[in-house]
Amino acid sequence: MNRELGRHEEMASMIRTEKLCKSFKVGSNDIAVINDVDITIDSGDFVSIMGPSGSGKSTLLYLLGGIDEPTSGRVFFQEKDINQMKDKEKSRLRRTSMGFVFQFYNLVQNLTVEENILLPVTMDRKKPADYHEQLNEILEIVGLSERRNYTPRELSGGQQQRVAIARALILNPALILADEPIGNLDSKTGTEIMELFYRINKEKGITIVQVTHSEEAAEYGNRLIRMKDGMVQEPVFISK
Amino acid sequence: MKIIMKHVIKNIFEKKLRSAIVLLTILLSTLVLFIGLSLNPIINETYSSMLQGSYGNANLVVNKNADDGSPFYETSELDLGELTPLNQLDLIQASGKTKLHEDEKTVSIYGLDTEMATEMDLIDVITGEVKLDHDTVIISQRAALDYSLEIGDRLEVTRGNDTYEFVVGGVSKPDGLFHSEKGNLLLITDSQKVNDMYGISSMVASTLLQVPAEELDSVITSLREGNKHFAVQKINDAETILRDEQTFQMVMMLSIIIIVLISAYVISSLTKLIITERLPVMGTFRSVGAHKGMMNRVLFLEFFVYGVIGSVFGMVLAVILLPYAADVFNEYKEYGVETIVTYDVVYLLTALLFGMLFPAFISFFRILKANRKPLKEVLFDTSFTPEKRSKWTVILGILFLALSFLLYFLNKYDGILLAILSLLLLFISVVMLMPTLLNGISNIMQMIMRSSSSGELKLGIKNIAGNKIVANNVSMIMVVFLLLLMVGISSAGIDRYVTNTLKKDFDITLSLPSNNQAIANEIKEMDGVSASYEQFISLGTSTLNNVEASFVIQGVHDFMEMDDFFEGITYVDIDKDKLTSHKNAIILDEYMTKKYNLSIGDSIEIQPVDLNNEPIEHSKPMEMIVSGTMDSSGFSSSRNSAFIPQPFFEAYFAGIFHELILRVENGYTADEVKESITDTYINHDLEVVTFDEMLGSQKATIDTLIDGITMIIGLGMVVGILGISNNLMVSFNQRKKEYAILYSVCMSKGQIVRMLLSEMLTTFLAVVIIGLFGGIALNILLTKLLYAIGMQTEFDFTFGLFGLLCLVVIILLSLSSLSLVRKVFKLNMIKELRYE
Ligand SMILES: Nc1ncnc2c1ncn2[C@@H]1O[C@H](COP(=O)(O)OP(=O)(O)O)[C@@H](O)[C@H]1O
Ligand SMILES: [Mg+2]
Repeated sequence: MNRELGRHEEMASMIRTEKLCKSFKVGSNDIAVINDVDITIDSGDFVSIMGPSGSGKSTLLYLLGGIDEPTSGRVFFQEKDINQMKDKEKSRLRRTSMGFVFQFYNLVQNLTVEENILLPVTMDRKKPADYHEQLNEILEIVGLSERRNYTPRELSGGQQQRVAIARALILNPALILADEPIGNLDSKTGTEIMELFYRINKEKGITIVQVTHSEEAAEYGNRLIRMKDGMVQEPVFISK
Repeated sequence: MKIIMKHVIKNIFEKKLRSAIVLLTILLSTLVLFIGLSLNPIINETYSSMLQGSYGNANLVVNKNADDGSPFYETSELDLGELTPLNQLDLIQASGKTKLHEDEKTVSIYGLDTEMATEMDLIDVITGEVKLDHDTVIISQRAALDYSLEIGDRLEVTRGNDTYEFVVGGVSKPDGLFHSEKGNLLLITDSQKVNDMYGISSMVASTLLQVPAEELDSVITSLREGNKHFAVQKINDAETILRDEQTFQMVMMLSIIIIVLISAYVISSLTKLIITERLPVMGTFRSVGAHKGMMNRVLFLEFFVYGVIGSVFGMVLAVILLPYAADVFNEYKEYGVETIVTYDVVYLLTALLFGMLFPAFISFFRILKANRKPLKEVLFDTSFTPEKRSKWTVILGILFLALSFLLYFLNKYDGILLAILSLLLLFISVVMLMPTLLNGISNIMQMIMRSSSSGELKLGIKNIAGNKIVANNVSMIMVVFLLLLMVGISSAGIDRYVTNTLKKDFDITLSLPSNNQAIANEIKEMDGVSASYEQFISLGTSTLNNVEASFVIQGVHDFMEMDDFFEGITYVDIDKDKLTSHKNAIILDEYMTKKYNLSIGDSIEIQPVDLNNEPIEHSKPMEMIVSGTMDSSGFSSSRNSAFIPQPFFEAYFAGIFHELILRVENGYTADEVKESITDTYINHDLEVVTFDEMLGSQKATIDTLIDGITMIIGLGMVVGILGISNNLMVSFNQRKKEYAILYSVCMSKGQIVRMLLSEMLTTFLAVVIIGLFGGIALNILLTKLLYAIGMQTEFDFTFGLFGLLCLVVIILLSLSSLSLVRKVFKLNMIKELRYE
């Protein structure tokens, strides 16, 4: 732990937690789901979080993204305490600096591929027309140029996940948080998605934090965080 | 079975608010259906018992009908022949004035045998004496209360230059003879006292007879035979026409149909929502092996249980509320006429069955439809997927719309079935076209908002186009909106007809007792009468183009004089030659000639009929030659007046009504002339009505009707609002996930709220736009229906009502949005995002 902190002292972290705790009330008991987690993720990292089901991986990810609020402890995004921000600021941060990818894609069903991808743009009061080039480029990257006017229902699972990734990428964020992005896909499609993440990380330098069950998928990253019972186990580095 | 029942009960209790709304809707529709069905018979019963009550047990009334200038006769002059009536009461009346609380009141004084009157249920003395001394009188309980009169109080009555003093000797219930008291004062004393007032003795002016009901007709015939100088009349015949039963019944039926339609629509869309919501759960059950049949039974049973609970409670409430609702429609309530409430088992069962079975019936089809979905779709909740605009729905919708107008144009004879069908098609097409219309409105709005940088507003507008739930909501709002507009347009039209269209072409009208020409001639010459017209009216029916048409036929001495006298009549096209040369000429309203495609010179056959539309005895259809057309809309709303020459009328049509229409000379008021007529002919049983009174009473009838309709609109609105708020609530539940996604990816809660507000405003705009066009279309199609039920008057789209309904919609939407805003801020986003 000390060695890790020491190693990154001079660099600004992308996201960092301090004594992060989250518990849920079940009946009259408080069940701790995240227990005193201190992690630091650097700019450019591709981190994989692994652990048994129910160990608190998703909860941690939502806390990092500021969607959920901790019971105690703090989350710093680029050295700013997310939980001190107002809802409006947080949402701006989420659409401009972060991108989310979920296991079940979470697309807005009544919007087309293009409209889904441009959601963060329109919500940021920017003109979609100004993002024409970015949109084309991203559609090219995720391979959906021909399907831009489809609705989510008309796409396969893998294609929907690509739309979600494209949506996460459109405003060129610093960080992508992905919760089991390939958990619902066949292995071939899963590999394609992981390759895509790898490229994004390498070419665009976007920091990625993914939760995964697959060792294979974890290998695309340069760091592995193992979780058990709400606690982070020893850090593992994978050099690639 | 037990397990299924348990599951059903659990479902109902789990969603308390939802269940409450479903139950309330069923409850209200059962209630309204029962009350609506029961009202007309109750009101008829009340009125006829009031009329009956005015004459107690008597069923015949006899008046003198001779030209000797005196209305009085001695009892012995009336030859009863073989007949020994069950009861007989002789009456003599006088009128005068008295001052009560500084107000001058008209007083009617009846002289009669009070013990016999009590026997015949004509009076019912509750305090004081029945047997009267010479100067004592019986007053009504109402008069005692209104003017604080007590036994022993003195009353001074002036009559011309004479003054008479009476002492209150008894107080009667305000029934029987006292029904006719209304705003005036009625005193009952013995007949000698009234004889004294006229300076005569032992005379009477009318005789009430009670004879066994089954012998009534033969008694009338034999009495008429033996008493040529007397008019013998059945008591009912004389007055039942007072109430415009048909209009009332029609408007009532219309209202019931509307309320049932609203309820049906609300219940049907509730079942749809509930089933959509339950589907994923059902899918889970099915995926672990439960077979379809069982699932269907669960859903079906659930709605049946809702139906049973809702309708039983609705019925209980209806039974409790019926007397109050009936009271609203009792125009004579203030005169002490009690509403007679009867509970009809048939209506009770009809309403109960509707409430019980309708939800289950509708859900049955919904379940069948839902079951056709593949399991995968059921499992993955796809309820908030975009509305798939099927090409066929649009084509069918347009087709229905076209068909509804086609029917309108084809419906030349204003048939009621075609009129209803065309309205129904309009409603169906509006619902079917709703998604397309919303899409169009949303697209136009998006174009307008194109340059706006507010993404959430644009997204809100876009959502209106593609969202099934929103389309469903707007459809529901629209249907309720249009139905209420329909009720509003018709009642405004009727109201306006009475107040504006009816032409004031007379000051006083009076109906004469059977052909008493002597009185008619006397009244025409009275002081204050400037002009008069005698009307002889009868009824006839004719089959034209296979459609039965009925006419109100008037015998006319001089067609031009008739036209001059009545402003409500304008001749449009008159063939003078035909009118003079044909003894069977007829002038018809142009509404009729257009409707049945008749032109001058055509001949039609008219069958003389009586009040019950039965052919008059020994009569046959008469051939008549159309010799002119007129506009009689200011004369009668049905526009079925027909004029024929008087000689022909007298020869072939029995005169059912004989009326005298009077105009008053300058310097006199209608009320003064009326009073002098009633004073002079108080013993002749004349019905004298001034124009203002007639208008007033028509207005009063319409007002009660409109009160009732308002009540129904109110209830309809409650049902509608229940349905709509339920829809909004469900839509929130179904869209929670959508909100969570938007929140997690790019929107703040504030932005989500703004998106919802923009949805609300777009919805409102859609309601206004579609409501406007729908309302105008409705107005056109509705005219046919109203014509079909005999109201040939202009019906206008009322912007006032339209505005009011829009206001209600915006308030409703704002309130629901307010609760949505609260819910969005309280929404646990993470819970919605998780998918375990
Ligand atoms: N809203 C909640 N209320 C109570 N317990 C919760 C809630 N959300 C998650 N949990 C619990 O927290 C634990 C961690 O959940 P999660 O982070 O989803 O695990 P993972 O993603 O690692 O499978 C689980 O035991 C889960 O039951
Ligand atoms: Mg998880």
